[in-house]
Amino acid sequence: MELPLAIAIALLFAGGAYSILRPNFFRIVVGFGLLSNAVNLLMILCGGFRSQAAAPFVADPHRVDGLMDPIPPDIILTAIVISFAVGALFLTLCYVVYREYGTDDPEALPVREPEDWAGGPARGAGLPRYEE
Amino acid sequence: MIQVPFGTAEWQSIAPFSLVAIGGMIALLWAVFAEERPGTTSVMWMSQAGLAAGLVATIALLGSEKASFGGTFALDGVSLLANLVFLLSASMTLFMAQGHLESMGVRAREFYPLVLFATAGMMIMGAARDLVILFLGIEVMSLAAYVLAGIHRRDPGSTEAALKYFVLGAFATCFLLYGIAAFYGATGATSYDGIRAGLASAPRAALIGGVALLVVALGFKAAIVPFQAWTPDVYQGAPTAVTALMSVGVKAAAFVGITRLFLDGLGPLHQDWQRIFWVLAVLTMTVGNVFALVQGNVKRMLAYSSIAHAGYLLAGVAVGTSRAGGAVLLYLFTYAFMTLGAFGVLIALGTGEKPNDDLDDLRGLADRRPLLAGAMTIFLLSLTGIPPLAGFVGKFYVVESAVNAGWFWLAILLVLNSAIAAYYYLAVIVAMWMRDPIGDEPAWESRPYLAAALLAATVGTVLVGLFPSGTLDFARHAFASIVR
Amino acid sequence: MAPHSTIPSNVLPAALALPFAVAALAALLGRRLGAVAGWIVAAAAAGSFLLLLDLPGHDAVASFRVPWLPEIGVDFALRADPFGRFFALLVSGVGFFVALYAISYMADGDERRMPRFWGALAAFMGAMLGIALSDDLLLLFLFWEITSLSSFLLIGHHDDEPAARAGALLALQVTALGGLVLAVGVLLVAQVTGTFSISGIAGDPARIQALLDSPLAPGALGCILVGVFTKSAQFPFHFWLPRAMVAPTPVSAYLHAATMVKAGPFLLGRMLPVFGQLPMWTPVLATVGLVTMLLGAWKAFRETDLKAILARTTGSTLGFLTLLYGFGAAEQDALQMLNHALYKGALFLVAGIVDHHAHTRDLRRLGGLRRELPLPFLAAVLAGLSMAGVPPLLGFLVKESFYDELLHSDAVSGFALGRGFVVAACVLANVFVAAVAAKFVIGTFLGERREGASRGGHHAPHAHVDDGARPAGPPLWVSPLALALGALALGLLGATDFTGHLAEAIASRRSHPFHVSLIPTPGLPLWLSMGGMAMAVALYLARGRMGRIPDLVETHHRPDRLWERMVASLAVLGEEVSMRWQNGSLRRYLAATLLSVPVLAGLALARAGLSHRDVVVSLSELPWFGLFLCVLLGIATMIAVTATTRLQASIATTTVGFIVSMLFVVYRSPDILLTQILIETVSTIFVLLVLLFMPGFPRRDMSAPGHLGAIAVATVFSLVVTLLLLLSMTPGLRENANIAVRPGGLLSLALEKGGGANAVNVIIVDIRSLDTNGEITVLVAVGLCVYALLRARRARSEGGAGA
Repeated sequence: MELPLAIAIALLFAGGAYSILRPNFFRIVVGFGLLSNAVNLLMILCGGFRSQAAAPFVADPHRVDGLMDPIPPDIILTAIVISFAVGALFLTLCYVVYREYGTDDPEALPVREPEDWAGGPARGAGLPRYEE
Repeated sequence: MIQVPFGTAEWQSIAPFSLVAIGGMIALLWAVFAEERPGTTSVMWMSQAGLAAGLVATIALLGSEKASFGGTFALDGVSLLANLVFLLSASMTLFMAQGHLESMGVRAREFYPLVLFATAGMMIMGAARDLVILFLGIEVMSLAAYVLAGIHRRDPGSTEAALKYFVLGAFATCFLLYGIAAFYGATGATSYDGIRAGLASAPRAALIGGVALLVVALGFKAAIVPFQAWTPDVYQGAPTAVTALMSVGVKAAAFVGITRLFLDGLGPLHQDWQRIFWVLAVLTMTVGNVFALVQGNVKRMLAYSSIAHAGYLLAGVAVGTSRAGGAVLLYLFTYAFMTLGAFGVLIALGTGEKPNDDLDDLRGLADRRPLLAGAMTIFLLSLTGIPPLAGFVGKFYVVESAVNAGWFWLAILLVLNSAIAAYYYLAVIVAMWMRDPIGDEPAWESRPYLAAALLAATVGTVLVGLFPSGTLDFARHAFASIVR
Repeated sequence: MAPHSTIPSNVLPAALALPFAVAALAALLGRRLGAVAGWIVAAAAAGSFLLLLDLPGHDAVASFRVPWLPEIGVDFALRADPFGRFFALLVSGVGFFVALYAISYMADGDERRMPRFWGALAAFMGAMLGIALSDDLLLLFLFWEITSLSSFLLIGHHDDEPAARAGALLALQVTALGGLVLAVGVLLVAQVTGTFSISGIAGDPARIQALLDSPLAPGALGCILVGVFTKSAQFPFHFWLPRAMVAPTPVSAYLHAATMVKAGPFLLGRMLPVFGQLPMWTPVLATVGLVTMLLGAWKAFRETDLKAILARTTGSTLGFLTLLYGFGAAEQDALQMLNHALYKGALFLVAGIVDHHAHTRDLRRLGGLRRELPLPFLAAVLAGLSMAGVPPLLGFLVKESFYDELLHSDAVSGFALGRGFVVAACVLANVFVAAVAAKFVIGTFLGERREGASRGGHHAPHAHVDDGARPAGPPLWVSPLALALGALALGLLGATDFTGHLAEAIASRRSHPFHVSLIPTPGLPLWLSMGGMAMAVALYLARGRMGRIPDLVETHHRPDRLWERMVASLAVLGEEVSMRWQNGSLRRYLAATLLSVPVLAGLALARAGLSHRDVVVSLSELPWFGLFLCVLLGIATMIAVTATTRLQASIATTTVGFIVSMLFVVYRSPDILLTQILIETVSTIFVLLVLLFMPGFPRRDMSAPGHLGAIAVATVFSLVVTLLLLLSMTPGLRENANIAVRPGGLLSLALEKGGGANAVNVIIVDIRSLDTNGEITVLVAVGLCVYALLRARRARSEGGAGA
């Protein structure tokens, strides 16, 4: 287990988590970028990447031992492409939100008062109404 | 190039979702580039055609049981029955949305094709026997669902719903990737067959960690406590037609994914995940029901109730026998009808100016619109689990499978929760039938497509309740082959 | 049960379907049916009664069976064994009289509610017939729930009164909850015995034995008993019954005296042959029965409201029935039920007449009505005498035979509290009930007419009922008098063999003949009866003095209020917690999730018995430039997080991506480098494009505690998840276990079949082609979505410019 890599991943986790907790769309985008990079590094850790192994270019079908495992790169590629797509869509959404409502804080949309979330306008209608 | 992995089985297994996805793309292109044609009816029918193509393919394949792509993509009873649920709910969503979105001032014609994309994603999830494919299915479904939730762009509620759903959803899928990494590290495989084969030699820590991460990721999509926080806000904020799709299709897809993953791929590990699911199931149903008790907005109440239903479904998963798997599948089938119906009624109540989905808006509905109130009553009674409606059947088989497997307390807790649930569903029925209306009658419009969808949901709720035999038989057999 | 031969009969489903058909008719036609609805319901009751009466007699049992859910062995099975048939006849017979009564009684009711009333009443009758005739436990449960629902509608008939809604809701909560628990019990029984068929279990000693031997038996019986106790208002679920008296009086008479509350004892009768030998049967039933019986009798004596009195004595009698079953004395159960249905139904209906006439049900304001209501007075006297157990009414015969049973049954002597205690308790309860009967009849009809009673009663809606000609229906006194005369006739027939034979024919069990006769046999039962009567007279005379004794039972902590407070506090809990948890703040949701992950993971790790000490760490495999890259990565991450401008942040994020792809080179995965660089470049361009339109970072985005909280959450999350993932890494496995790198695995497959030397590409394009398809679908979908999102603005801004 490579300690430096582990520390790097922990940093990416912490940085990503901290960023998405901040009240700004762009910070959240950055946070997701960090978190998805953490995934990629993680794959290195658990996918049997070894600096001594050869890249998985196969010359002889019967001598494949000692080569890199080709599946993790495949998964990583999938993950990279998907996270790009997600990021692009998110940015577009943020942009649309900013254009429509002029805010870049997800908490600041002019929706409703926090206490309304609990029960809606007629809060507690289910029960206390029968208490009468 | 190689032919090995791409034969008839492969074509057959991807046909349903591919047809739907292709239909979605054609419809989207039509919607985007043929702007001069006013109205959305043409796009709606085009999308329906895509769904119908998927449905035809699914029905044509009923009964076949094949492994494709080296066993990573299933063509079996489970995926086909799940396809039926997805396609039916998507189709009904489209019908219900017709006219509903226009009246709210939403002219987004991409709505219809997006529903198809989401459906295609669900179908991939329903058939995935490989974690990476499951991930792809979730992404296809979710990306479309994010946009759908925000389709009413000028409504801050809808936009906020989209943002919340997006941020939390994207965050959750990160965990799926972490889980994939953990399982790959432990077993050297991402396919369920490979994972099963590698379980024996894998270290326990990795497996437990992987299970925890996968529970987080899938629990998000299925709205399981403690990952349910987004559900009420998103369900309430999104346009009701989208909410219907999310609470039926998305949840069903998540549960088919969960059931297949845990009962099939991780079946040998059941000792490790059963306890987690037991606790989460009880927590989920209790939180959903207790929170639902105090809601004054019916849409939000239904959101919480959908959390409670996720708890019942999870209880079925926790039981983990093939009997329980069949019960979960049957539950999803019954749940689709009654939930779509209930949201459909809320759609019918909305007018251009006001959604009219508070409990107070439903007061005296029986006097104003008796048929609508009658339909809503059937859906709510069914959600409560009153025999002989569909909801009872679903719940009953989950309880039955729990008792059958010796999970006595789980069954009791489920039953007690149903009793709590009866309270808030009945509050709506009481409001409709026993209270006098408040305010003037809103200017309701007649929407023939919506009426047809509601009729279909009512008939489905009653018929499945009276004659559950065939569906149950199918669901049971579907699971018998994959649970070992 | 065995001696009967079974013959298939289509009469059973017909008799069952009739009320349901009428219910549907009443609900569908609604107000158009008008007053006719009541007549139709009465006709349906009479029809069902006659159909059931006409069934083949003593030596054969009619049954009907079609498969319903063959997968789990549930049939739509009906069976009219003598006990079930008796109960069904009771339901439809009393139903007929109640419907007849209700036509007149409800004639002035709110027209809007009447379709619901008749529909619910008919559906209720059908469901009760279903309970009586079901030969399948699941079917029985189904009908059980329908009675709960329809009784909710009936109790809450006056839905504009909060008390009615609250009472209806309380009844529904308790009985529906019990019903659901009953379902679990039913499932457990079916699980052990392998069948849902009641006769199939009761008629098969092997199955009964298997059930008794099973460890699940106490749980199954417990669940069934919860269902029974809630339905028949047994302690500690007795509290809903008095509150349900807000129902219209015909409903109270029918549901809460004659039929629904008897569904509990009826089910006990069904279960007695199955569970009767279980050790917990007698103690549980006898204790609950005794407590309910005494509590009800005491409370009844203290009440002053006519219906409340009747409700409390009903509770008492039901406790008495439970006690009876507890001692396995099933030979006379049917006769007891019949007796109670006749006199209590009659008294309820009389109470309704009094209420209509005097506009009050308060005994303190009633009196001297005998002249104004002569025929109801007659009915009340007869029914009251039967209630008190005075010869020659049926009540006398029933009480005699019960004392006889108590004094001779072996089960009683085996009961922990002893025979003497049980007998004394029963006599005491009977004394109170008899005194209450006297209070009811004498207080209402004898004495002086109290003025003012007829003004301003609390049932204002019915105020004009006696003023004009009644629009429809027979006079109100017909039904109570008919029921009371029934009690008299059966009592008088006790002089012959008829009543005895009847009792024997309808009982749920006939193990030994028992004595029912009007002609008393001298013996202890008779003396107990006589002594009880004398004590009752004394008690009645001393009622004023008794009333001054403070009532210490359930006055300060009324159980119904406790229950309601419990439900309400559940709601308060839901409100408080959901306000805090679901307050709509995305940041809070994210933080909650971030924290729940470590909790879940921590639990999982603790379960596996692992901690940070188990992490295996090495420095061996990383070359120096790898280490260097890691350091750079850390720095870039910190910059990305702490950046004060957007440009800084986006460049730092891109850098992180590049460093990660460099690390892939270190780890021999050059393909990823290319892709990642490509993607990073594209996304950077995209980000910068979007940034053109978006504002810069706010100077201060969060408060200091907010920052600290976020940092704390992020730290905890990161530490635990990293630990989890580190623990998941398996040093030994990576060398050989991967399927792909085994000879014949994916790698060699790639070369042989794919003809490509770059295994990653081959795998992506060919072998895992499905993933690639999925990715393409995602990209296309996202592309089109982005286009649609942005296009909408263009269309709108154009439209806006035009407008």
